Amino acid sequence: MEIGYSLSSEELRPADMVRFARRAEEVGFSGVAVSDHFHPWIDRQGQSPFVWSVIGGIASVTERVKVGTTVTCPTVRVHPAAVAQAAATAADMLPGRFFLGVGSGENLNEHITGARWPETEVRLEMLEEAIAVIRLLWQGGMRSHHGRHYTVENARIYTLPAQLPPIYVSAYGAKSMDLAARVGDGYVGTMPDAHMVEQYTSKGGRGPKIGGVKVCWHEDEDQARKLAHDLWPTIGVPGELGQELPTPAHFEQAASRVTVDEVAESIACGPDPGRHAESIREYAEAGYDEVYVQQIGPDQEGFFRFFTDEVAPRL
Amino acid sequence: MCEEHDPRSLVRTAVAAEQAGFDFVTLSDHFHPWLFSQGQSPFAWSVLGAIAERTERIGIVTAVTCPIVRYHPAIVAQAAATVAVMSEGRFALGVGAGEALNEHVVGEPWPATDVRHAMLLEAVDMMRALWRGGRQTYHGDYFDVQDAQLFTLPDEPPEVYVAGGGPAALRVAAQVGDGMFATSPDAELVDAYRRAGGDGKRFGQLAACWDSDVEKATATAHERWRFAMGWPVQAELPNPANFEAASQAVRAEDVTKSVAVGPDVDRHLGAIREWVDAGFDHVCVVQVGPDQDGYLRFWRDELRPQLNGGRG
Repeated sequence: MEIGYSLSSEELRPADMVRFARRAEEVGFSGVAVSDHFHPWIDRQGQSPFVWSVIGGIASVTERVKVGTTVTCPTVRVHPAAVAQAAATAADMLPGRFFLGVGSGENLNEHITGARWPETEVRLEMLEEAIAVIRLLWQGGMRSHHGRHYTVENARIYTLPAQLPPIYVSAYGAKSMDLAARVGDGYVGTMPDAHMVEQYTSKGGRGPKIGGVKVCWHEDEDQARKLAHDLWPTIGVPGELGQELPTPAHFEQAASRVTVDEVAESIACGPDPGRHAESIREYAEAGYDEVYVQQIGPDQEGFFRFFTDEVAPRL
Repeated sequence: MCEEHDPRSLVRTAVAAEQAGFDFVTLSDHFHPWLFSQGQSPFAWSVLGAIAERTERIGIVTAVTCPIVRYHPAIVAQAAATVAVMSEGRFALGVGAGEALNEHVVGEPWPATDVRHAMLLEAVDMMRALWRGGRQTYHGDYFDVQDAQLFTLPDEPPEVYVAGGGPAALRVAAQVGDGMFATSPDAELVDAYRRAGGDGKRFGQLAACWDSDVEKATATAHERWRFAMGWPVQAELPNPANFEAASQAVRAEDVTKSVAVGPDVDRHLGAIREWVDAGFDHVCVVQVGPDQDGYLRFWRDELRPQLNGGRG
């Protein structure tokens, strides 16, 4: 299994993201995954840069690592034609090493333009149509599309990469898994759940299965647990609330009863390399081909040291 | 010019422009090029991220982006704030009321000029509200922002320059801009901006085509710049094919009236002086065609020494 590094747009300033991406390449991660948000989940995470500018910056300072979105939503706040152009440019700036991870989005980021937040079935329909629009435009030439959710008229993407990027689709439930398996070039998951990976494959899903895992290294375990709880109590927010709640304030409320223990149970916190290695190995055992590790909090350099010296040798 | 260059070349040129001593670099933002011969159209915000990362001193300005149809102004507000942070305050946002060429692609109606100006005014107002930070809700005549907050913000919001080819757009520039942007060295434009109460920076975009061979420069300019038929035409045609057709009758000698072609230093200096004489205080030079390095050498060795403290 390949191991990549994940940058949280919700937590990091754009110049730091670029710097850490370069460091991740230096210390040998296979890829860098970047989230795309308009809002962080909660105010304390504190950031939310425009992902396509960050990716441009990363492209200009790296040479080898894969770079991709985990994930962007091409359906509401940004028109899929704009995402098609942005991703084509990213792929040209990162020749042969860009992937476009997409998902059906969260109200947290998509509500801002005042557009209505549709129910899940409609969002999946929109995602499918958006992916079709993106692929249509990537064929080159003048293209039009008059669909149920999107119109594209006489549009052509002039800056096309020599090699088109793969599109990986995020999925949790059965319906989104059907869609991912049908139209994705790969799968994006955030849980080490063998059943999900199996579903993707058994429904005919092709390509790599990539996962994301959060960890919180700190030499003091209590500090690590506190930091993880402070910045990511939202991982304890259950069910579909993550897709439905509209603002960081709502996530604050929904996460207010999540305890430190609950967070630390699902996130490897502290200095024990065995625990960190185990949380990554779970993804390999669940059938993932690649896992992107996200260090919670500002101390990315400490994480790089810890990971290369102590965790990587155990994997 | 995004219309002419692939993204990595644009980044390289921006770095070289900084080294050659320019004060600022401008980048256009298109979905389509004007003409097939221009051939490119990368996503400007990714190129800007790379330029911010790879340069240290030079100012970075969009010339210009359109925040009203294919992007929602809240998205442009986020993108501009991010590039301002990445460049540590070196970024300014040039905006305009757009061209059908780039905006029609999402299948929305193309509004009349006065409506687009009203939309632009509202969009700038909305972006400035978001740049103040905190949670913002804004229900305008054209756009809504609902419970939105920008978290990645520069210490100071970017300045906004508004493009105008006539008095109506320049009134928008005077009303909401920190400056104006024009593509012809016309003192009347500056006057119109001032009459409307504008007292900010005055940016002009000068097209040049340096080549040691004036005939070759003329041919390149004709091949790639004959689309510049004035904003009433440029704003309305939807596709490169229409610009190809509309510009069929444009002759090389028509293009060279407004493009400084060839190797003659005085010709290029004269073109820059026209802008200064018309009352502009910032001029950006577009070198038409692929030979960006050639122009930068010419600038550094021959033009710049003749310009006393002039802006680049």
